[in-house]
Amino acid sequence: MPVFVGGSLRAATVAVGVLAVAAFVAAGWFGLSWYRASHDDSVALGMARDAVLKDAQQATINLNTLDYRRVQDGLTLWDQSATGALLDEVRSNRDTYAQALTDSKTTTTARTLDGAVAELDEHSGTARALVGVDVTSQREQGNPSCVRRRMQLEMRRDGSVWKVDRLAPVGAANPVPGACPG
Amino acid sequence: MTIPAAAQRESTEEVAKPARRVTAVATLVALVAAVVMAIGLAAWFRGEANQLTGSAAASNEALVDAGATAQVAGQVREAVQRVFSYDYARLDDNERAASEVITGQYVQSFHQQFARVRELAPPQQAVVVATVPALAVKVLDGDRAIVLVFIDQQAHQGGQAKPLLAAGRVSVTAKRVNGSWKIADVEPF
Repeated sequence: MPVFVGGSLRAATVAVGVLAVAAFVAAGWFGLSWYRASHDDSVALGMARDAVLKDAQQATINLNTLDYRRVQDGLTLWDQSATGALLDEVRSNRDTYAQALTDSKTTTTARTLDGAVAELDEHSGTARALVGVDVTSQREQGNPSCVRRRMQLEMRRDGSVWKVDRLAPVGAANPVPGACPG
Repeated sequence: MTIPAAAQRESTEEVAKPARRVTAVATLVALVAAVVMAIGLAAWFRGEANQLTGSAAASNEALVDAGATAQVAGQVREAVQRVFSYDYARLDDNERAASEVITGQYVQSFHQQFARVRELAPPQQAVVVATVPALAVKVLDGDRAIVLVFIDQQAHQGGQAKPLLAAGRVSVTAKRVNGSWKIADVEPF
């Protein structure tokens, strides 16, 4: 083993030792920046804002999607998307809603177009979001119709997700003949 | 007779050498393992840190910088109301006022749209008042912002008692020019 004879072995050990020190310094440095980033309030706030928007858009779809042939599934989805005042409403009126929806013989499909968070209080776990949604209604017999809505959602953090506490349309909805575009 | 003497010296070194060499090689192997481990840790930590700080979420200051967000929201609201309102009797004033709050590619498209307003508004004696019932800053990144705006337009026409109402949803791209936020693009959604 000519490589490991005498001085070569010592030199290699020193070189690798220097490399080890450098690598540990780098690991320490990046470890520190990870720690700093994960304890940075503004990073956490930005992530909460994006989580609110994502959950508000999904909840808007859930709350505007119904199939009169699978009413209980739809209402369960409503239940899962709601908290607070809206959840109370959904739960106490569930049977009435189920009957009315079954009788309506209507299927609705929703598509959210864009949204943004208007207010966010991470500490208290509350937020207000705006979402644009197009809802196509299809009766068992008849032509589809489209409503273009502007929704305002008051969101509340419930465990690891944000759920809808209250929701209200902003102004009148815009009806459009036929199915919604897109 | 130097050769046997040398051979003897070498043979005593040969006895001592293997043990020392084993220790030295073990040290080297341990150091190499340490380097590999440290590089692995560094790469992992760096990845985690970058994921937090380098993400789109981190570069977007909307709501994170509350003061700047409120400033964008207030100025864009005012600009949208100005750009989407007009009075058939004061079109020159309206166009001049709107020109102060627009920038970039929107300048040309605004004036093109306003040319249509100049054709249509006087014969209808149209007065349009735009209000913003709700808006939210979606993205705020330096001198650029994207603001979601719900816009209501109330159109009063000569000879008609009831105003016409139009409800719109637009995504406004705003740019900060000399300290004030101006409309750079308007996209209905």
